[in-house]
Amino acid sequence: MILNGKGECLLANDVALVLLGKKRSNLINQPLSKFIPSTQNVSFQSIKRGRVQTLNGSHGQTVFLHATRLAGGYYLVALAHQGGPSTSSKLWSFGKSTMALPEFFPLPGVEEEPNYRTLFQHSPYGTAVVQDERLVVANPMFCKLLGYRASDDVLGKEIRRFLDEGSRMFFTVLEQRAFRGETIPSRFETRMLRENGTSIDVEMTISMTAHHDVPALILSVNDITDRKELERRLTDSEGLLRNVVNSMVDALVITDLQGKVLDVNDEFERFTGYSRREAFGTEIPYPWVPEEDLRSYIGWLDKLRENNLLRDFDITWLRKNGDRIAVSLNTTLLRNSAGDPVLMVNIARDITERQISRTELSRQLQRLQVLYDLSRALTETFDTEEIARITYKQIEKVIPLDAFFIDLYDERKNIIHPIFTVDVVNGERREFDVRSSMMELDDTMATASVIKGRKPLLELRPEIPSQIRYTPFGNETQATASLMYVPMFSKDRTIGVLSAQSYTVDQYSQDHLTLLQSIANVVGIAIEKANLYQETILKSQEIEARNKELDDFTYVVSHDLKEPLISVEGYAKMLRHEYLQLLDESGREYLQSVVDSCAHMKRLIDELLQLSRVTKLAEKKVPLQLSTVLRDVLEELRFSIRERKISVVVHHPLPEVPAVDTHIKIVFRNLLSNAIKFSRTANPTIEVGAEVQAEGTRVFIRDNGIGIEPEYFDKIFMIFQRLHKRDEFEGSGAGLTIVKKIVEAHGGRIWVDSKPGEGSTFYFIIPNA
Amino acid sequence: MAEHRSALSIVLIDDNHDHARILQWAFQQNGSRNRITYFDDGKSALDFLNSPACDEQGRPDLIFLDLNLPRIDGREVLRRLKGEENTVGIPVIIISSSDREEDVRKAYELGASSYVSKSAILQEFGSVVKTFQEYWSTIAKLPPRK
Repeated sequence: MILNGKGECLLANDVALVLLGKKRSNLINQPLSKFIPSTQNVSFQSIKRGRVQTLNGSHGQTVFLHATRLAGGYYLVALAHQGGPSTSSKLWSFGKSTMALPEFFPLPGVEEEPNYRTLFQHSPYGTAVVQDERLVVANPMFCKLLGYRASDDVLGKEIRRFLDEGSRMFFTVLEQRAFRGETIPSRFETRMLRENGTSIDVEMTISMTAHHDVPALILSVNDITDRKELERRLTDSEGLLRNVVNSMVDALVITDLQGKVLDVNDEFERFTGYSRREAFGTEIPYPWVPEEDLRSYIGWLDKLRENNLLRDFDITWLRKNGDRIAVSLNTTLLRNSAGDPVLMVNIARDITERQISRTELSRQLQRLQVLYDLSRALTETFDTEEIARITYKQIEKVIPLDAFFIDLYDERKNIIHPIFTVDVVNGERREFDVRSSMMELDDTMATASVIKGRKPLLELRPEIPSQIRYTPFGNETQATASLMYVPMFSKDRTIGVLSAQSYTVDQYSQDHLTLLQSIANVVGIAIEKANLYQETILKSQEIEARNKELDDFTYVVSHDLKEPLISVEGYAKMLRHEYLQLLDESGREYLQSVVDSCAHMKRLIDELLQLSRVTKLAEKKVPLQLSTVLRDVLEELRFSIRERKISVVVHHPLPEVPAVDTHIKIVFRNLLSNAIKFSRTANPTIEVGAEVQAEGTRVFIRDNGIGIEPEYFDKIFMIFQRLHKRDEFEGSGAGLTIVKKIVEAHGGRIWVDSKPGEGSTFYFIIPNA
Repeated sequence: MAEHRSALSIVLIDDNHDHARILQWAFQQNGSRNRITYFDDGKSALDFLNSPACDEQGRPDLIFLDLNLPRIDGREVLRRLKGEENTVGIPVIIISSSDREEDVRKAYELGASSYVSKSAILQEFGSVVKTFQEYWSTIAKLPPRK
């Protein structure tokens, strides 16, 4: 309707008549408020749009009203049917997204109003009215557009036949919506069929009307073929470019110089999960750049000011679903023909694959590191429990696990000794005290098949077997879903089993099993080594204890032997003093033999005592001048040396050695006494010298005496071994044993080199401190 | 003077009767007038030395003490001798079959005046005993008795 400034109706179309329930003659020149009371005394300018109540029908009717002020103080008032009395609170937007009023308005009343008929006939728009799917009115332009000569050629025909096949469904939908009073696009592009079978592009507007009081559609059609053709041509070159851009395997983001996204390609959509529509207009910070990378990304873009092109910036992008992807970014600045920068083009390449292989590499490196750390850590302990604990800590780094154990296997007794067990009890991972527990190996146990079969075992259960509950070591725990068992070997024996288990279904792969086996191989060696060490320790402790016992025994025995010997010796002396006259020559000789034997036995006993005292070095070693020691000993022995006319040659200088003074004196005294004792009459010579070697200081004492047969080289150092007849060479036989014991107590060694008849050389080494 | 020199009152404590006999013989060889009182255990020796009887007959000039004794060990005997006012002034000479360094050191720590191995006494008993007698009767004058 068109109202004058007083609100009186000057013009009304058919829809208005229907909606208000009045004939045109009753409406024209009447104020609108007569039919819609709420508009009384209301400026239409202030109404603009809203729901109003008509007086049409017994209960009135709710319509939507939209008022527009026209030039000259007139108002254009549009009413729309809401589809029956409405309780809907939904406001009907009557704006630009719906019907275009100027086109909607002039058409009604074409038959009654000659002015409008003329307008209708000469309209540059093809206009037609459709009722019951058929054309009932068509203007000459409509006919001309579709290639018909007169309206008679089109009237009465179905509208469908004038529509392009692809547009029919669309039209039907719009038509139905229009009849229901729903919103429809005010203007849309579609294709129509011409009489000659060709099709034209049109812009079409449809709106509701009434034709002879029956609802009908008004079509307004504009030929846009030329425009379309131009557009199509434009799109073709643009499309080519877009095709290129879209076929790129890299994601592309075009932004303005401020970073506002102007376009993205298909790969970007696939890559990030953000659609072109979502990406368009996005500004920094982009949702696909993680917050932590934002700063470096902005820094990256800043560099563009100095460079036209930036290459290979590794950054993480965040997919819409939250996944992270590794991206290598190349960014260029596009310039216009004047050389001014206009756009930024970001090309992002997915390097997740590369990253994965890098991740895989670092995972392998970590495993190597763990194996290395483990091997190194295991060399530092000889305690099996500690070995197990170290192993657990290392394995934890590379294999996800909830439960872990190491059992040792005693093949001889067929017994399993748990040495370390970790399991989850009441949701908490805990280490159990398993030191005192052991069990017989039962063939039904998983460990049995691993030990007997000597092969690793991977068991993957489809779910946590909730019916199986264990109470190992007094703690109730649940069976796991993923289990790995690997055997530990020492040479060709199975010495135990190592197991890692998880409550996660399908936690382990063959890969994990291989890794666990590698670890178990290292652990096996470590455990074997620890066992050997423990054995050695026990044995050496045993030997030490036995030696101590022997020394104590030697001391006590020799001391006790001394007591009766003193008596024998004393009585012999008493006899000689008091009763010598009563004995004949033989008796006196016998008595002398008793005295001599006592003296000999006393020497034996004294040496035994000495031997028993050279055990562990009770005294502290001090830096000792060998030359001083040697000088003292030669001084002690000077009488026997002089007596036998022996020339002694000392090769100076003699070094300093860390040793116990009194002990080294015994060594020199005994060795030199031997050399003197076994010297021969012609040109007897004794040489003494020393040199510092890697092992320590090597001392030699060389004589040109009777020498020793090679078969006795070892025997001479054994206690009470006598190579010569008693009357030939005097000696107890313990002297070299004492020397050997002292040298060994210093951590050194002694040996002899000799040729019978030519002489002997005794060597001994005293290690450096 | 010579008479006085050789007349020593000696207490010998040694559980080995053979050793005691030989030692007594050795001492007598060098002065028949030496008076030797012999005990074969430390307890009876200590009892005697702290008894009025001992006071009556006069305290001994020397005590020869073996270390290896039953009931009360020789070291304990020595400790007690050096702890009692009655006996603290009497020189104690240890006679032992052991020549172990720690035995010797311990004896001197406990206050022994000398330490002689039995072997040495027997080897050169004449000179050893003579030396003792001369030393303790002429050179080392005992403090006057109260």
